[in-house]
Amino acid sequence: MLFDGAVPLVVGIGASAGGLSAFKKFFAHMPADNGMAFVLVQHLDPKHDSLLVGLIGAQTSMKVVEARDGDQLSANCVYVIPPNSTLTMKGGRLRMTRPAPPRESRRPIDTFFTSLAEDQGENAVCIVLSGTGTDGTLGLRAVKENGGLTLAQAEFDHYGMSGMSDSAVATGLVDQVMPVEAMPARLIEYRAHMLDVAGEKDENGTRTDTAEHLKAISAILRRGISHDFGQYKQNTLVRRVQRRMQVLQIRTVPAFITHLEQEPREVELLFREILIGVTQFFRDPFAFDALAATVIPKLLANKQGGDQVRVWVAGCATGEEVYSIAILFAEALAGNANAPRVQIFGSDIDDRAIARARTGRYRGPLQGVSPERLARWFTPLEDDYCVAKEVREMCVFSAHSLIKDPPFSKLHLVSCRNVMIYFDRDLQDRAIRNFHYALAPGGFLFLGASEGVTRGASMFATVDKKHRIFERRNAARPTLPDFPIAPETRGAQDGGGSVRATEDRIDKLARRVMAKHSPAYVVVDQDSQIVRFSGGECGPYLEPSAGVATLDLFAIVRKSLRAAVRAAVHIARTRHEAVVTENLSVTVEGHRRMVTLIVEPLADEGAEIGLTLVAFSDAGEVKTASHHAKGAAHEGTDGDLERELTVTKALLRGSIEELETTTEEMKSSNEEFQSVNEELQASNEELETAKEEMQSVNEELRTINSEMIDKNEQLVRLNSDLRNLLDSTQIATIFLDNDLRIKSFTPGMVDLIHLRESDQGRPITELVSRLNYPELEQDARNVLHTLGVVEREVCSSDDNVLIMRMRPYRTVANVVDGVVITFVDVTASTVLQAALKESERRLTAIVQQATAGLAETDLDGRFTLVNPLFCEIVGRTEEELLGLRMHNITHPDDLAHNAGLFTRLITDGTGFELEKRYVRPDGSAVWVHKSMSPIVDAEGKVRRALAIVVEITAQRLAEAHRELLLHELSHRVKNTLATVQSIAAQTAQSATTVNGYRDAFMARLIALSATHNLLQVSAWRGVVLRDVVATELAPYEADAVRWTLTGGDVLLEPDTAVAFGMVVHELSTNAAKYGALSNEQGRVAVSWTMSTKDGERRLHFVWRESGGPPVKAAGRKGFGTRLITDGLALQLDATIDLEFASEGVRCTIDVPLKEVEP
Amino acid sequence: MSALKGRHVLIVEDEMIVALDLSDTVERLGCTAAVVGRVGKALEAAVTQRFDVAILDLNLAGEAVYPVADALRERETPFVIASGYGADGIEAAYRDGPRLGKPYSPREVETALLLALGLANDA
Repeated sequence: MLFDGAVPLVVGIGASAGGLSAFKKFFAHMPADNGMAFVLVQHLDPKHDSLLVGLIGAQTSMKVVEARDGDQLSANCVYVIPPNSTLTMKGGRLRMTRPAPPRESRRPIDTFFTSLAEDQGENAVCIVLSGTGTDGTLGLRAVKENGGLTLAQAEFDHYGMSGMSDSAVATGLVDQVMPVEAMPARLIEYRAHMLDVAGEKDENGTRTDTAEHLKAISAILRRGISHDFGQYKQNTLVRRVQRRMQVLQIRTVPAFITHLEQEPREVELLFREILIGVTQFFRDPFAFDALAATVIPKLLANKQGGDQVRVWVAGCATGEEVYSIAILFAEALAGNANAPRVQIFGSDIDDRAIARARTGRYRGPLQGVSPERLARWFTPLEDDYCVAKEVREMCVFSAHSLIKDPPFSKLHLVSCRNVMIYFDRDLQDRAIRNFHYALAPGGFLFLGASEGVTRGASMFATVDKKHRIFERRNAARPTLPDFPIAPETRGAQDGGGSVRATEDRIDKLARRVMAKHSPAYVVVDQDSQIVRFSGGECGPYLEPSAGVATLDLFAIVRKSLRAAVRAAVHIARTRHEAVVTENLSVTVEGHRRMVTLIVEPLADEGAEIGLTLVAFSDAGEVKTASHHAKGAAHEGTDGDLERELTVTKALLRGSIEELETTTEEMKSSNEEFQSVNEELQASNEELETAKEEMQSVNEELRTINSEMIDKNEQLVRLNSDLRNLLDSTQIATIFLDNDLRIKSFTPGMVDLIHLRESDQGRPITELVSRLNYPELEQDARNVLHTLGVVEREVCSSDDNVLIMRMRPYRTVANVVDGVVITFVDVTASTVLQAALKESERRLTAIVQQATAGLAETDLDGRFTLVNPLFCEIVGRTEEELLGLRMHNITHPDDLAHNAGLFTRLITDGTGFELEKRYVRPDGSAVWVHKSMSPIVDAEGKVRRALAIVVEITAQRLAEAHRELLLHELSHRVKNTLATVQSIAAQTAQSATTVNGYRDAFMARLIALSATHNLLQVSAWRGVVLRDVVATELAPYEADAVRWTLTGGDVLLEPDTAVAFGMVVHELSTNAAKYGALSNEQGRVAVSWTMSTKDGERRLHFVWRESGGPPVKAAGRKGFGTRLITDGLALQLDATIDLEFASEGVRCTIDVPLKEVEP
Repeated sequence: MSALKGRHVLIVEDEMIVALDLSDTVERLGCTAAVVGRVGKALEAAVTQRFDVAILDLNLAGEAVYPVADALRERETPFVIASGYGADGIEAAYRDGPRLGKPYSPREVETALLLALGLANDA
């Protein structure tokens, strides 16, 4: 099933010249959803691409495709034949073969229609549209034979060519001739009808209700055309009847029978239908074997190069018999270098059959052809077989009527098989005489199995009775029948034969009666040959002479009448009127009788037909008595008259014989002229065939031309597009040929190297001076040689920079034909590029060397660029960072604030600054000042963000330190003030006078200050104990020999130093006032040692006085004593032993020391 | 004067001269004084003795006095914090009580002690 759920209909459309316009009209009127598949076949030049697909596609919404081999046809689709291909169909699929056959045997439309017909049967539709020639006609016949629908175009516009359509119509097989516009509607209607009757067919598409009516149909045929088709295969007959019914769109068989009975023409059409295709190669093979064995060797015997063997196949139908005989000759002549020329004339009354015969192409498998012959004499072409050229060349075909037209002449063999069986006896007779006339002496006649030469036995001798081979008898005089009678004869054959038969019977009866009363007569033709006798009554007037039997009137009429008859016939013929000669005497059986001779040419409706009636009327017996009486009276005169008459008769006979000879000669010439004429006609046919071929070439050219016009328009458009493109791009382009001569160039080249139109054809090498490009020629040759592309930067003389690109010029056929050079002025872009590079370098330098960290992020905060300093600040490598986002390395406490600002930056582009912390991989935080700004694109949309980061950890620490210092300073000042306040208060308690108070207070302040001085010198880091002691003892410098300082270097931290300073001050003040330094002999020994106890460094300090005045124990503890005993214990957590021994004050201090940072 | 008479005062001060003078000052106010210069000693004193009120110097040889303050609070012994740093230098938790800014006069000492003991009208 080709299409699901619908009646499949495949529409083949053939067209040639002017077809484009017809195709367009057709598809403009065809709705897209029509359920049919269309295949367009057009004559196309094999070397030329077709644009048909595009052109048709514009007209319809159906799918239009170029046909490919194996395409399954589908409904609502249009398939277009590609150029140089032959399209056929099998099993619902397209078959395509390439290349197309040579032009003379190219009939793409016929080929496709034929395969369409065989593949699709009654589902096939063929349409023949505009075109010249006859392609499509044979295919249309095939479609018709297989039950398909056939349409042809009726009206033509000014593009249209009616030749192809006319040829198709002439077959009488076109169902409807109609304008292209009306065809779509007809097709849709036809398909609807098919759907309607689909139910009455079996799976082979054969109607099941036809067989039972075959007998009735055969009877009608037998009655109508006297031919019994009883021996034909039933299925064949059913198919033929069914096709007629389809054509007539008659639904039931009885209705068709009624139609047959009412329309005599339909009987004829059915008959013709049935006859189709009965002929075949070597039909009745034994007869052909006999022909090859007996006749052909004889015909070829003694024939040489210059000689000719002429054969006529009369009634050859589609040519199988002609080619069969030609093959026999070809086989007989094989290997004969000096072969005579064999010319076989094939003729048939059916010009359509002749057209088919001329193609020499037959659908396989060929019946009756042995495999050897098939291989030797046929060329397979798709499913067909073409007759070999050497066989085809022997044969000439022409439409010719065996009955109506004069025969060919000087033939050596005439074959007329199974033709005469359709003829009645008269016609058969006539045909036999024609063949006798046409054959040269010794020629052969070859007839069909049921045919013979019974009535022409005088003309032909039997050579092979079984196979109906006869040889011309040379004795019989060849006569050519008169042809003007042919129409009458044919009319009798065509018209009601039965009526004529009836009339003959009445004639016969009437004649039987009238014979007794009417004169005896004979009818003679122009050669005076008797063609009719009235019967036995003629006997008395005829007198057969000795020798060869003859029907020549003058040879067998009684001698006594001969002169009178000859004269009367002559006069009647010349004057065209009846001649009556009375009182002729003739002696019959001893009695002299008087006879009246009547001679009159026979005429049909006033026109003479070349026959003459000679009648003898008996006027009674001559009375001997009276005759004698009379005779006696006129005896003398009679004798004279008799003599005179005899002389006259002799003269007359001479004249008549002379005349007869002349007539014979004229006739002979006439015959020859007629034969020559026939041959000319045959040549003419050949010429017409040639003309058809020329026409088909012409058609193709027209098709090509119309496509070329279309294509040319497209090319013009394309060319103008290209020119505009080249002009607008301002790419200077120059085309060179293989010798590097200028082929063409674009306007841009004019500015570049001052080309003028007149430079075309000049070698480029003469013109390149303006370009600083000496290698041009070498490059061009390289490109031509390697087919590669060369690209260079070239400077013109005015310092413009050009990019030159040189590539091979390839034609559409991919052949290299020169080079194409383009120049693009890139001066501006080069400058820009340089500037860009410079700017980039600058930027890179800035980024790389900036003393601030730089980081660029995308809108997700992902790093896209970082500079080395940034990496250093955050303690990560560039690689690490590029995988991270800003918030991944931001201190958690700063995240929220930073994120808020960043979001604002992305949304409205507001930059920001903040101080924040990053976290390094080791977990340490680093403080930075970050300034972030948006990077926007051309539309002002934020794309990226740039952060400039400066590390401020050190600053932050310094700040904190300064703050701490300030705080500490304030604390220290206040503490110091508190200390001074306490000193003042304590000094006041023990002072007795204002001066004493002042001196003591001042001394204590100075002691405090002295230690502070030491601390200041060491930046409050600590002081060496020796210095503290020495400083406090400095006021007693003059007595330096009286005190000793013993001990290592011990560094005291500030608080300890100050406390020690105050203690030493108090001790020395006391010594100066009351102790060892108050006299001249006293000594003070200060010593210290360091020890470590329980991991704690301890200082052991001893103040020992000696040699002073005796010590008096103090009553109340003075400030100095309290300071030493209580204060030091408080402040330094020290253990103090102050002893007022009699030999001198002794103070031991044991104090833990804090580590002093160096 | 009479309100402070007989009160036992803990003086925590590492600056020996200031400590001696302060001890004299509170004694003149009729109080008895115990003077210590280190946090460790102060805590020891706070545990072993019973004081009516304390004067705490904020910084004792680089150590903050807060543990002592905490120990005193535990015993509900009121205290005055003396500091050269001003209020800002004192941790918030200890900022609310009476303070003495160095240098201070004997009168300020008296007022601060009265305040600490809740004996003064907030004038």
